[in-house]
Amino acid sequence: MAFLDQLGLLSVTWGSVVMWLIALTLIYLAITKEYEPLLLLPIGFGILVANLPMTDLMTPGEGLIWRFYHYGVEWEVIPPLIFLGLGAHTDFGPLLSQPRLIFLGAAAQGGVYVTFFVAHAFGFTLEEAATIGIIGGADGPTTIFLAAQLAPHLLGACAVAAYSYMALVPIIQPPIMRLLTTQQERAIRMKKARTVTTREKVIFPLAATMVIVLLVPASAPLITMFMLGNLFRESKVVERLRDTTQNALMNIVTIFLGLSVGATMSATNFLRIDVLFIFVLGLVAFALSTACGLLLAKLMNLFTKDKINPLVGAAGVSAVPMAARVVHKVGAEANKKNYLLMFAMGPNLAGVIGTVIAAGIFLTMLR
Amino acid sequence: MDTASSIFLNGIAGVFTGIAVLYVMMKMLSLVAGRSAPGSAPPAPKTD
Amino acid sequence: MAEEVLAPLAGKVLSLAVEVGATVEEDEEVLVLEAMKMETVVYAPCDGQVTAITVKVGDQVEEDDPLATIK
Repeated sequence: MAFLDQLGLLSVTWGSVVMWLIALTLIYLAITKEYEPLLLLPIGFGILVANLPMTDLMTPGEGLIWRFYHYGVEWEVIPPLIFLGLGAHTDFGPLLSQPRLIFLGAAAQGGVYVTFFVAHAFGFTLEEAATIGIIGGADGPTTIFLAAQLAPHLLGACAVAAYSYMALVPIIQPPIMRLLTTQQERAIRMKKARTVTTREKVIFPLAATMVIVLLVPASAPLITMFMLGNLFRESKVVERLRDTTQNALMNIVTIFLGLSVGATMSATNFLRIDVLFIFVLGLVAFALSTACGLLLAKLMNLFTKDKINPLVGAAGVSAVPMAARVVHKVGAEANKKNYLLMFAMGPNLAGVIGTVIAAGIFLTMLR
Repeated sequence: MDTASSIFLNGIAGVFTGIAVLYVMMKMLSLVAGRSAPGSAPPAPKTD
Repeated sequence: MAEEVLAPLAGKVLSLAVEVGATVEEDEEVLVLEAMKMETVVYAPCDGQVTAITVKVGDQVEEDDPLATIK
């Protein structure tokens, strides 16, 4: 009965079924609730097919999806390309017009480090703890980039945690924001920022690349691509490249990324107690990063006459532009004439840079 | 725990240092290539 | 003393809540902008009558672009 030997159906385990349910839940959330659908839909699908037995889709050397994973993720090609696209989408104007907000992006990395420490205390190795900690940076590609190098067996779980919590920022952040700030602080209207010249916006990516790469060379793959994308955008002389980068390239790369990341989550890889810890710690990381950003903003207010609305500190959690939108909404609740969105974009983008630097430092010390 | 502490401290110090340098760079950039206040005239052309 | 209603941030005009000639109070909703996939309401800066609306639905505006005048 050779045919029966070939039936995948007979090799299904309970684990597979659980993973199917997880996959279908993610796909459901992506489609009906529109939670990060660009990532969670392919990730969900990848999980589903990776848990259908005997497909050889993830067999090293042969599998279709294994190839996407190996050449795209393991070889660290895809995350930098995503950053290329992100850079082309980014307007650093809000950050350049109020440089001091960049420190809020630095503060928000606090959650990353505390979580790293706690994860290690719980028994995770240093490499695993770093990968879990970086979830607090709220940056999908950076999380994947770091995981692929330090803890590939945790990549799927960390990526899903990161993207899920990024989608849940509107639920996670507001309570923390209200807890740590007073109504009065939330109502602060910030002074209008100066206009930024085109020249500044063109020089910035060049200068930033040099500064960051000279300081933290390990962050180069991500930062160089990010800033190149930004240069495509700000130079305004390579519109066809910018268009491809922002659109076609981003889309292509996102497809391969989502599918491969999902496909790493086989039942054996995912249904472990570790993963539960990862999800809890990831949430802790997000919460702490939010808190650190808020607190530094409050601290900075003690030393400055032009008050910062501390809410924008929460946007240091670099879920772009979700966190900025949440800050705007909570600010509008306190004072309906408050338009914090653009101010919040400063720390939001600074947070992306901060997370990349943090990842670079982890790599430097742990590779 | 020692290595963890060292990474923790180095990491935080590293992020803040990197960001601080970026801050200085951005300030210098605004002096060299920016306008000093909203609506004011652009600076005189740079003499290279 | 006429006051200009300026765009508080860059975005697209989604809807207008008042017409030329309408009487508004301070803090009343004037129009809705969409920025970064989020709706932002722009409020009247003072009491008065709307004498001009310089944008229409679908227009893209920059920060500080005039949107309407209230006398």
